Amino acid sequence: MAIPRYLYPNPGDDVDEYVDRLTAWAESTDVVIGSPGLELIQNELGTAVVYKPRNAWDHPFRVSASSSRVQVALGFLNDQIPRINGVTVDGIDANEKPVDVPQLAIEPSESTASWVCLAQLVDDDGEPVAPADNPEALTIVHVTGELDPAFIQGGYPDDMGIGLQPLARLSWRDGNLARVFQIVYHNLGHRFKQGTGDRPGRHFFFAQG
Amino acid sequence: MRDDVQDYSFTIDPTVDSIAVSAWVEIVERVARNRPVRFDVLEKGRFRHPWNVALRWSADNERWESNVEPGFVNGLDATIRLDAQDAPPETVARVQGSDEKPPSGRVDARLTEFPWFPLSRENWRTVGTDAIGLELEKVPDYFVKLGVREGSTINQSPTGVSVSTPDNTEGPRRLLRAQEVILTQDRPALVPTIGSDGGFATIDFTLSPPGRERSFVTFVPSWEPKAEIEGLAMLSGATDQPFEQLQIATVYLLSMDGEPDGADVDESWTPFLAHKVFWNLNYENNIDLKATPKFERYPVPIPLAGGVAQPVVDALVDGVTDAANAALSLLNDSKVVGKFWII
Repeated sequence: MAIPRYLYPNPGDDVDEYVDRLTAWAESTDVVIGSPGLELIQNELGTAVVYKPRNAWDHPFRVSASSSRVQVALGFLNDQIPRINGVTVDGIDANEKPVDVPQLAIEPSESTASWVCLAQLVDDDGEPVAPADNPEALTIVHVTGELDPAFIQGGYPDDMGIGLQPLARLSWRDGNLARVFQIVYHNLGHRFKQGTGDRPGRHFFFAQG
Repeated sequence: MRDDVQDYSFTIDPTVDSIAVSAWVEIVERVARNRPVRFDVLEKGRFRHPWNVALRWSADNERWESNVEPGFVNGLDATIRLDAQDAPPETVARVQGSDEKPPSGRVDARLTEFPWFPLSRENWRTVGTDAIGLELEKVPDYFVKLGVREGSTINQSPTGVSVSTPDNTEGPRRLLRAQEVILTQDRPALVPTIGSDGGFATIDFTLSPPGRERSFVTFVPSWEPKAEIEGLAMLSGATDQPFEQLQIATVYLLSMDGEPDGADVDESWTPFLAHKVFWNLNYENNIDLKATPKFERYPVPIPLAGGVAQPVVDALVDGVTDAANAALSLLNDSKVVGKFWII
């Protein structure tokens, strides 16, 4: 594993700053496991990369994560591929060039759970916005805290045109990622139901193909 | 520190405000070499789909116990209610720090906390061989081939009661027990009642909030999908059950050959599972909780005779007037319906 250049000081540099950098680097884990069958597990005992040979199913939207990053396997929502930082989750940039598979930087959750979600943007007519028209139209987001409590009784309540579908639940223990629970195993479809009056619109996601 | 772990600790003298770059680089490289990354191969690992049910015999407690692979409904892991003494430590710690305290010393363990749920002896229903009844449950073909026989049927006639047992004296004779694993999602219920306003009837809708927020798993002796209740029936006193359910699986225990009829299950029995649901779920009902008023009143221009509701119900049943038809339509449209789908 390459050592980051930012850890190497020049004579005269502030020692404290480099101690901070080294500490942060030592506490992070650069290994993000995305291959089928491999999972990264972190707890108070340390960090383990676990290989489960009979769990090697590279299904759509498979979520891999460390305490600081998330990676999502190729999956389609309404035949579109979600993006992280403007790059499709399978590593194609806005210029249609293959690049490194993107990883979403995340902050450790202070609670015991967080969610890696698909975020779909719809226009005023409730039609999904295509990523080709807006790179932020279909993205991967990390939700800490709680999901909208109204979600449990229906589609995800619309928030400024955006609806969420949890792909995986991350379990945290003392600020470290303890486990990833996959929620979605299929490519998905999405429909939007307009709200009425004060009632928010609702986003409905479903397995497709 | 474990004996097999080398101590690479070092200290930086806080009174010294400089360090040689070469020394620093050595520190960095030492940390890099010893970053806490480990590779394990779990040969016994296997994919368990959401809602996958596992059974085990607990020798300590002398009972069968079950574990359900975490399943999610609308992004939240389902729960299972059990005695606090049987709950995982993670559950106990979480509940102690919250107000999620069901009565009677029971707690709702989340499936992501991997609880092992004790299966009540009383919940095992008898299938085949030693079952006796007027209408018997059919023994699945799979178990017939393993030696489970049809049960005994009670026949009632004007001359008396008789019991007929299939003539199956040859071959193995094994007993079968079963329980159903059910997923329940509580939902609000919209309860219509007849009121009055100025001599005419009104239909008042009261919204009762859902019981538990998260979906939950239960083990029951038997299960049937609940019957759909028409709005009109609710006016006549029928109660809308405020939940939706799915059958997750059937768990079976199969005895050894030769067990006496009525035998209790123990560690000699063999578990079998028949799963019905394999994926996580999304759910919705047709009420928007955020916005639906808890109380609404709709006038129904049907004369209210003496304040008695039955004439109104009768008028609705007859459906002879536009008002009655409109009221009936309103009642049926007001039904709360929920549904699950895979995600």
